[in-house]
Amino acid sequence: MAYLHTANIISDFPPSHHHHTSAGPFVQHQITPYTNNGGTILGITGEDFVVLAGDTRHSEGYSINSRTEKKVHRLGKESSLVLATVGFGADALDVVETMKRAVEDYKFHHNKEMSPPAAAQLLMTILYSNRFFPKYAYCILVGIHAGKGVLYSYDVVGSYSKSGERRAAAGAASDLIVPFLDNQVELKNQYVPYAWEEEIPVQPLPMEKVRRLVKDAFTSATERHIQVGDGLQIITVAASGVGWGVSEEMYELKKD
Amino acid sequence: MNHTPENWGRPRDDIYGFYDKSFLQNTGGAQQHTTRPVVTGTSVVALKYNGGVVMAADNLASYGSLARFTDIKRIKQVGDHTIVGAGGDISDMQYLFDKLLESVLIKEEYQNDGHALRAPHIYSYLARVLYNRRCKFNFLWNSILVAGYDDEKKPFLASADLLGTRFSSPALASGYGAQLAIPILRKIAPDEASVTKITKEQAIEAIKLCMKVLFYRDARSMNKYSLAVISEEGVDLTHGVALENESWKFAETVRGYGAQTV
Amino acid sequence: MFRNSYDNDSVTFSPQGRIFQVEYALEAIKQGSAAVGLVSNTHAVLVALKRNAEELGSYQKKVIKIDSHLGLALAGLAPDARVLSNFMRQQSMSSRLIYARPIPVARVVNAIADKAQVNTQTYGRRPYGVGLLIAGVDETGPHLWEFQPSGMVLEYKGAAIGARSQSARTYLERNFELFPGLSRDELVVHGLRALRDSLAQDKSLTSANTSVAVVGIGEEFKLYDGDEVTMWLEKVGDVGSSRGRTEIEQPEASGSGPTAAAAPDTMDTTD
Repeated sequence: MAYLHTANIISDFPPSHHHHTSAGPFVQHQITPYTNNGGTILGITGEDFVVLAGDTRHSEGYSINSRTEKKVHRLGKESSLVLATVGFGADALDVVETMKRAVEDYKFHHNKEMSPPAAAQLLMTILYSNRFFPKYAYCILVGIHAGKGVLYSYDVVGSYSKSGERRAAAGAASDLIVPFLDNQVELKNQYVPYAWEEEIPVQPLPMEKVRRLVKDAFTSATERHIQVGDGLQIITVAASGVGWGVSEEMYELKKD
Repeated sequence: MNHTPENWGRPRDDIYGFYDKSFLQNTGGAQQHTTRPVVTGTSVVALKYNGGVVMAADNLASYGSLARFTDIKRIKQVGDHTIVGAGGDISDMQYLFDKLLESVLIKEEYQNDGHALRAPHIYSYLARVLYNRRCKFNFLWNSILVAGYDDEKKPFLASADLLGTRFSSPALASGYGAQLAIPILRKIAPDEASVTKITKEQAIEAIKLCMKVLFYRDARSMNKYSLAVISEEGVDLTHGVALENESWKFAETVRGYGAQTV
Repeated sequence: MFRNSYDNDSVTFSPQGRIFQVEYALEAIKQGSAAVGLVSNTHAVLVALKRNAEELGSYQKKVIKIDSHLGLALAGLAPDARVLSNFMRQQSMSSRLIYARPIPVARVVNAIADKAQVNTQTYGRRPYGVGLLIAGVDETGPHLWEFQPSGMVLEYKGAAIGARSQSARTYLERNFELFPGLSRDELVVHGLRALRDSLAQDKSLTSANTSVAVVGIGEEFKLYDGDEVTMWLEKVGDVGSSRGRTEIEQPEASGSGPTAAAAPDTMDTTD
């Protein structure tokens, strides 16, 4: 069994705080409480909407556990909050469960939906409260706040930017996707043709463009990264005038 | 001065000389948790078909490379339409099956209100137990598969392991099965849609083939296994099923391990 | 006030075998405004009359959602109901978290029944001063339960608690045989008519003083408060108290109500 000879897949993270050294000539078998289940998540905001996506491959080492495990979760039936988690699957799901429960509890006690800034701070608290035995879950939280799409991204111990971000990617292929977003969303290194070093101004992208970028990012990541593929779950949260809507699109990715 | 718990109440070395602690069970820390599995079971394999799920696990419990027990039941029926199969540490499995699940079932039965726990509920419970134990650094050293029907009465199959990792798929296998059985099973069940085209007989045949391949290649396996078929009528669980049409003919063609001359 | 030497605590029986503190707690329910619950084959409905202590104040919350498949109406001490409902929410969330299953209605009801019973048998404690009607849907269908501070719980086809609830109960007793086959809307209308019968003279059901809640098979618990209640009151038609009237009102005359409903042949006119 693979786990009987546990390979230290995540040797760099987290730094093991659980050192047992046996006196004998044998190296004692050591289990890690973490594993890496691969996958990637990606979020991009527009003016009055936000898109959050994740592939549906769930893997461990070279094995594909499942091709249909979703990483993007709505936090409440009537809430605009959507949370995507990636990293160690069990921790990731636990963070989602904890958040869902908190959002539900909040509604019971205050008779209104939790706002994205409140949820963002709560998520930071949850992650940081596990500072010395971290939940190995990289998170991207999105929602609609005051008619605008907002996005927050976190490291595993909860650091995030209170003012939110325009876009974020996390997980296995984030290294591949982030530079692509720099170029396509932040328009880094893009200049007006035939003009002398005149940068193209950054503007909020239309929804269709964002969805196309998301698909392009994932099809490319699927080509180059073994842990990314199978399916793509794209959730769009839109503040359409008076109300807002949350919609889900499933998009096929290569299964090799 | 050593102030760790195992030294509490012991004579001080600096006054009374070295204290022989060799009789103590552990000298490393306050509490010892399972750090490795001892007596183990190998793969569990399962496949959904149109109307149910088929699961199999052999009857061997190994002590390292020793085939220690050959009549171990690693699939348990839980309620009318649910089964749980386990690999990994046998004592942890028996704790899960005979202590935890049994008491959950008894409590549910005592309510006597027409409600019964089904596969998704049993799965959720077990995955939570495994995850809670890993969070306490006190693993239940198992990998389990739960099969039955979901809330929409569709076939249900999901996996959980000692880390609390959970996932679901039309075909699942733990241990060596993940390497050897999954390619066979995914050929006929690549996705959820294909499950509706698989008959019960085809599913049983595929699972039996997997058990044979596993016996050929997994050194911690045996040729006797438990086979469970879930259908609307309930669970048909048979222990001690013998491997059929076993043939080692292929072995002569295997190259690359020994000192072949050709 | 009536006193005797056997009502100082909730652990002492009177020679007649009564526990007065528990009986007083049951009286506390009657101090609260009325709540009515009823079930059909597909739905469970709660309706309740809200009181405002004074003009400047808001109306007391009478219906509390517990989970998407479960809620309750209360009569009596609202703070006690809040504590009980918080406990029910915890039980409900645990069930979802551990077993991924909405808690069966009877289980969560029995859980608060056990809590209440402890208070009737422990020195230094007082029984809960609130009665509850719990409406919910689970795998075995829609359910309506009544909870009492004594720790007693019973399942009902229709039930009413609180001030002047006897009149509502009379309405339910006369009409309950219709309930199983009723549609969602018809069931609510019957609930409101029963509630109307418990109104004090010269009072009527208004969008400000009435709460309506519906839960059904495949339909989440939905609470209607304020303006949302208006549509329901329109379906009822005459929303005024029938107390002190000489004529017997015919509910069908309103035209929008369920036609299957038989009008009560007499109305309780005592207060």
